[in-house]
Amino acid sequence: MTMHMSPLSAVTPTEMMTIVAARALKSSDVCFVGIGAPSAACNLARLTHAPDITLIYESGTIGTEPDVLPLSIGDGDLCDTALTTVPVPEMFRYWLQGGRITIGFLGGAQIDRFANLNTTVVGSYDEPKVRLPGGGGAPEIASNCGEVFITMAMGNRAFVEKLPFITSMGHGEGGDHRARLGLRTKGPTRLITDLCVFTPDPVTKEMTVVSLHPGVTREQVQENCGWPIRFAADVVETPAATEEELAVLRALHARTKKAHGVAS
Amino acid sequence: HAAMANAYEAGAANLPFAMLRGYIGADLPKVNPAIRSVTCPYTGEVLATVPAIRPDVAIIHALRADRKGNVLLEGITGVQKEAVLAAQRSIITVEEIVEDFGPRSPNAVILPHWTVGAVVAIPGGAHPSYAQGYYKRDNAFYIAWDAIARERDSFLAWMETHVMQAGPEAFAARPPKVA
Repeated sequence: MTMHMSPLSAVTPTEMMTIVAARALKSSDVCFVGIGAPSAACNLARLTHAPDITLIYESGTIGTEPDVLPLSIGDGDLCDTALTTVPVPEMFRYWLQGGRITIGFLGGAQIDRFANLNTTVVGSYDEPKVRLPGGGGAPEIASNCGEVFITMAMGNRAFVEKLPFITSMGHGEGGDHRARLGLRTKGPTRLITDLCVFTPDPVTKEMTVVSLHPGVTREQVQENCGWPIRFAADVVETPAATEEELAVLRALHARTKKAHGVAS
Repeated sequence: HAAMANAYEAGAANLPFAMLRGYIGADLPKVNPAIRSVTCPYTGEVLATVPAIRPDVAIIHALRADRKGNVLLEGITGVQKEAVLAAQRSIITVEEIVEDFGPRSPNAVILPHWTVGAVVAIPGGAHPSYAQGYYKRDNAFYIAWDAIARERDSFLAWMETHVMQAGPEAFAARPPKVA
């Protein structure tokens, strides 16, 4: 099978991350969508292979189909195209906490080998080096959704040996830590980065590289990670971006830039 | 924010605290003493609690009010209804004041006048956010705002020009009208 290189300009690592994340979704999923990379992935899936996917944003918009990527959950486009929009307390109580969300899509500033996330602070909580935006709905998304997909670009400041603060629990200290805390949800089952894909080891729950994006080497992945990475016995190569995936994604970003009045 | 949403709802329900399946395995309860827990008397499950939010004053922007002061909310309503009902007093700015709401859904979200302190007509009052059916979210403004708000001087200068020295009419001019 010859590798069909799309005539469009070469896919970027960030585009690859979004495309691979979108591939992980299906029409039957009910997705709690975080702003940013998760939103791009979920809408790309909806515009390509998963047209019937249900997207839900924290502002209460259920089954929304935005034409451009929202800059915030408080964008009227999400409401205009939703099946219905519910108050925020109801969103958290009936839909998220009620267990009706199959996939929670999260990003983060920092992550560790068990896919715990930090979006609160770097340094000590009382004298932070950097105060991050905070968790928002993330801690509850991480515990209440059926499973969690994470999309994050790799880098040594983001992929760290030990988190200074756990905003949202992934697999905690590993093993059955989630179950010991009474959680029946799966937690992070996929960590999709701009270089590779991790999934949790079935027993230890340590995130393990199972797929390398085209042209990416193991050394490159390790250089961008603060802990010694585990690679699966049979690491595969992520299928290249197709023309359709790339074209639809780039059109989506172009529409978004135009709508947000940003020079493209 | 799950805890805040629950806290506003508890306030509106005149309860002292809100309860949620929250913060499991997270560090925030270690640094925030307001996050505590309760044990379900029936199942033994431990659930997080946060104090109810009961503001002295709630200020929200809604769509319309009628002559009696009943207020109509629509679109992404968020926690606005809960905030007003949780507060001691409220001020609600609206796009317009109408004689009567006219035909509407029996499930329209309306705050009766006797739950509202004061209503003020400020067209464009949600800018740079949006008002359902009136104008869209001004995303270009939000992008520009990051740079303005990053430094104290630029923030204060913007506030002086656009808020302190400007009147409510300045708001009316700002948002693009929905076609």
